Amino acid sequence: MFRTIVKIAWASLRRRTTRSLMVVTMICLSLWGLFLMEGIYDGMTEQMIANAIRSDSGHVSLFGQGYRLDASLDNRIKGSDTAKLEKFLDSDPRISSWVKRLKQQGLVATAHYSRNTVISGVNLRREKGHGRLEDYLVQGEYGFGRQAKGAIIGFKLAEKLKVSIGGKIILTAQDLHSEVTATALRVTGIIKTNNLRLDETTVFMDIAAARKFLGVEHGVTQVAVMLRDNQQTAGFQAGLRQAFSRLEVLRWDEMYPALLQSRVIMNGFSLVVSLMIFGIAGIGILGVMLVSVLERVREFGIMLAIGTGFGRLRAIIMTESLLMGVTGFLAGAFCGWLSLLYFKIYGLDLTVFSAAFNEFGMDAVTHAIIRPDYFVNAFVSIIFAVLVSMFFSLRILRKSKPIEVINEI
Amino acid sequence: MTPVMTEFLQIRQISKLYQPDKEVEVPALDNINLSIEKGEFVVISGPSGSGKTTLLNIIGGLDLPTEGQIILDGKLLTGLAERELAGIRRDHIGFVFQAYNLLPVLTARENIEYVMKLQGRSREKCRARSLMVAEKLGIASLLDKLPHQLSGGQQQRVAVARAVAPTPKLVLADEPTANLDSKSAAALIDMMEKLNREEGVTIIFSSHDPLVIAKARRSVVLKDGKLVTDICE
Amino acid sequence: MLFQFALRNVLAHGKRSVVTILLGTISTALLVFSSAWMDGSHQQMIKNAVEIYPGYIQITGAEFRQSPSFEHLLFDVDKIQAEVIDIAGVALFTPRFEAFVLFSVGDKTVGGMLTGINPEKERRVSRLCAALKDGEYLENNDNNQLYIGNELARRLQVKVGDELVFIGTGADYSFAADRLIVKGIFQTGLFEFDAGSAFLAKSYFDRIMASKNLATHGIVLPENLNRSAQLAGVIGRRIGPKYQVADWQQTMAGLVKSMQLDSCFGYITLAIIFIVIFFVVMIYTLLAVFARLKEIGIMRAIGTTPRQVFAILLWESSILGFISVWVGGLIGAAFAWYFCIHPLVFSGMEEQFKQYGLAASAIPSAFEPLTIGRDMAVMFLLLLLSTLYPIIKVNRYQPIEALHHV
Repeated sequence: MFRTIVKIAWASLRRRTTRSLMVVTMICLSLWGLFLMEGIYDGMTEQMIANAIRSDSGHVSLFGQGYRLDASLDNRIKGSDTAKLEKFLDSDPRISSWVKRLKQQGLVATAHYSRNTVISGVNLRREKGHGRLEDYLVQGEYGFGRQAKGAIIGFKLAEKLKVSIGGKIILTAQDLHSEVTATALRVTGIIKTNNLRLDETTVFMDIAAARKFLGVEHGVTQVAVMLRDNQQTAGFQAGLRQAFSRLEVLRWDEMYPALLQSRVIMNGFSLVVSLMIFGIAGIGILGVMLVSVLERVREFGIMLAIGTGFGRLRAIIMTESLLMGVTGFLAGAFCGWLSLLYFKIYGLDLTVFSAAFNEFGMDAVTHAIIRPDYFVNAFVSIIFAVLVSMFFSLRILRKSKPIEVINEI
Repeated sequence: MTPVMTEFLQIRQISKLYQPDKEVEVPALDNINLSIEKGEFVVISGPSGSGKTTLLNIIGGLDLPTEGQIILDGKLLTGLAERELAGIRRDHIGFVFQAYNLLPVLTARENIEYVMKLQGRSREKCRARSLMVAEKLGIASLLDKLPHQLSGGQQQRVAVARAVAPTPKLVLADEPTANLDSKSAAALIDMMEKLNREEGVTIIFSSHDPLVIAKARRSVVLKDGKLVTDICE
Repeated sequence: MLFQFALRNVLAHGKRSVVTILLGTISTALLVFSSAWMDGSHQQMIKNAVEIYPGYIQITGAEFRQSPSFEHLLFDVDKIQAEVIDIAGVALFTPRFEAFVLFSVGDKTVGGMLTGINPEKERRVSRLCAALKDGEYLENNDNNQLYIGNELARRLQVKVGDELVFIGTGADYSFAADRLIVKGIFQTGLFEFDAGSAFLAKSYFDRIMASKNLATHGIVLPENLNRSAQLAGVIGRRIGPKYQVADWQQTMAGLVKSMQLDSCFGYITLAIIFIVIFFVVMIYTLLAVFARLKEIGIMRAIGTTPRQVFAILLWESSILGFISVWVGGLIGAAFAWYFCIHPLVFSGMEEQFKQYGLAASAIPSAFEPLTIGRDMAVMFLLLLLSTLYPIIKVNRYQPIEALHHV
């Protein structure tokens, strides 16, 4: 029974090869395009988010109370809290790494230029294991020199200061006692994190040297925490808030709301585009199904007249449309998956536009993302479109009274 | 005007094989030889499957023979390109089909004038000619109707008018009466005969209806793709 | 005659015509509006970025961009001004003098850019005046009154009427310092700018910084903003190689590129949608043409050449395409026009816009008949192209096959 149905369905698809192929090609190409778009756009957004997390916020960052409103050293995480916090962080199994940073706003100057800056005292070894900071290095070396007299600065800041490796920079800032203090460093490295804020303003220096420079013996301004599983971020944040009520605990998306917004906008955008694609493709499938039913009204009439049940006709039509839908889906999913896989491994290289990407704070090479829900959503939508067009076609078939049609000429 | 009797249409050793499968060969026509003079009124008859339609299609350049030649008014049709054939069909051959086959979106008048317009005749000439032919066929009052508003007999008369109006050398009609009742069928054939007489147009039609066959002046009978009789009155 | 016949066919096959027109209309409206929207938002972003402060055309000393020291200033501003303002197409010239100084209040010290401007002229070349948030904007004869970015004011914890001190280096390399009073606070929405800039009337600034008749750069406002590049060229030739004249496309090259990139992604996305539409139109044409295969067979049998059949079918597509493109084009244009006059306001998206260097959250679409015409033409060709394959395919049938096709 089932085999007969499939046989008849297959035969009728074969009879209209061009048409069936067109529908399959349409579904295939539209899904292919859609998957590529989703995977690459998601890749772009996620890369931006990852850059912010790796270079600055971690999944969660801790600050002293009031620091977010007034970023002065007085509002840092005090020494007593630091010790307790370190113990807590070292013992929590959800954490993969954490780093301490001592930050202060100040001024960076060369002979000709000066800019506002965020001086960030860090431990390079820990930063390497934390956010792979070393990978962001584009020039020079990953180190502050033997006497810790070196600085690693953001590439945009370097551009604006017109300073290169080995160049001297003067940092001016207020120390813990509100005295203006200055120190001279040599640029040892230039990094490009594509975290715009960081690339434009940050000067990394050795945390011990920073302590001396700013007169801060104990305590830090930021502790950034990386989790093993980013799904746990919210729960982890809540736990930290309870344990350290005197500290401010912020998730990455609270520190970079624009990034979260990008993600929301991108998702909305993808949804609108996919709805349009499926809507239009649905119209295509509907047209084909309608015509293929209508031109066979006589044929169906004969089948009904010789005792075939309407259910059997429905099964034949359904098998036909599903065959086209599923074939199109499989072809599209395969092509989409294959090309996404390629871009996931090798990346989509748009270095031609690197000036533009720098402006956006994005990587010029995008590694695509492949999410199972791309395929699941597309499959459900295609099946839905097929079922809707089948429903309409069957209604039209019933209305056209196939048995009466066979008696007409 | 007495028609000059010349060898107008020559059908030479026409054979047609259909090959629905690689292994199977069905002979539809087998070595048909026939020559028809200008102004004749010929019926091709025979049981269904005897090759009437195939022969008419081959004469009209719609189908290609496997072997043999068609010469119309001194011009060899066999082997011409489709574009040239289309030109010959447009200018020299009129078709009447069993299923009327009027263009559904055009009115009766527009159907009749269609080929003349393709020939590039002026609007006025088309008008005058279509009206004249329509009057001869008794459909002058139906000219502004669409095909689906007409009865079968009326539609077939429009189809005859369409075939005759562009003054072709030859009109081919494949079972023109098959879908008509006997009264309409007889009337249609009478009108075709009248056109043949008055306009001097050569008409070849096929039929298996004895009443209709009786009205022709020359009767060619096919059986199993072979010409079995050719009787002139 | 072929055209009339095609028209009859279009009218007779109502359903197919309506569906095809609908698809074409939607596509055209979508394309027209999307590109109007993209162009509009990009123009707005660039306009914003340019007009907030950088200006359409900048004149600097020839070496200033490479090494912006006091040795490469504009040394005779009055003369340059007289020359530049004489050039046809120049609406305004205004000099600025930027100096990096330290601002100090109590024990807070923050570095920033202190700039002497001509407040009245500045009104016309930048949005400084419009960005006023608190207090008042400057006037030409103001003395030690300061117009300060809100983020900088926040860092220094000063309000309108408060006093602060600056320390810097004058144009003659002398030590310069003064007490200033906050007259107004501005917010452009550009964080870095709001966090590091403050302004004084240049007349007063020149006295304390010894910068009379000097400027770090001058801003030229062209009469026709679209001709900035050409005008920059003209100015450059007039004032000679001692100076560098750059239009906004040079000073903001990165932004221009990023807008192109954004358009690029926009068009790729549209292309994906259009592939689907292309296929649906093709499928519908195929269905429609094959439903009429017998009719086409008749036409061929009674002497219509394949070329004529092709012409009739192509005319049909053209009529459908023409109608869709015009209806869709008009709908899209209507939307583009409406949103050009009533810009769409995105409240709550400032964060996102700041990232794009966009201070305002109202985005108009661009209403440009030329672009709309281009999109309509592209869509028309696309629609025709999508019907081509079915038409060619149906024309390959021999008349006899077509007649007997079921």
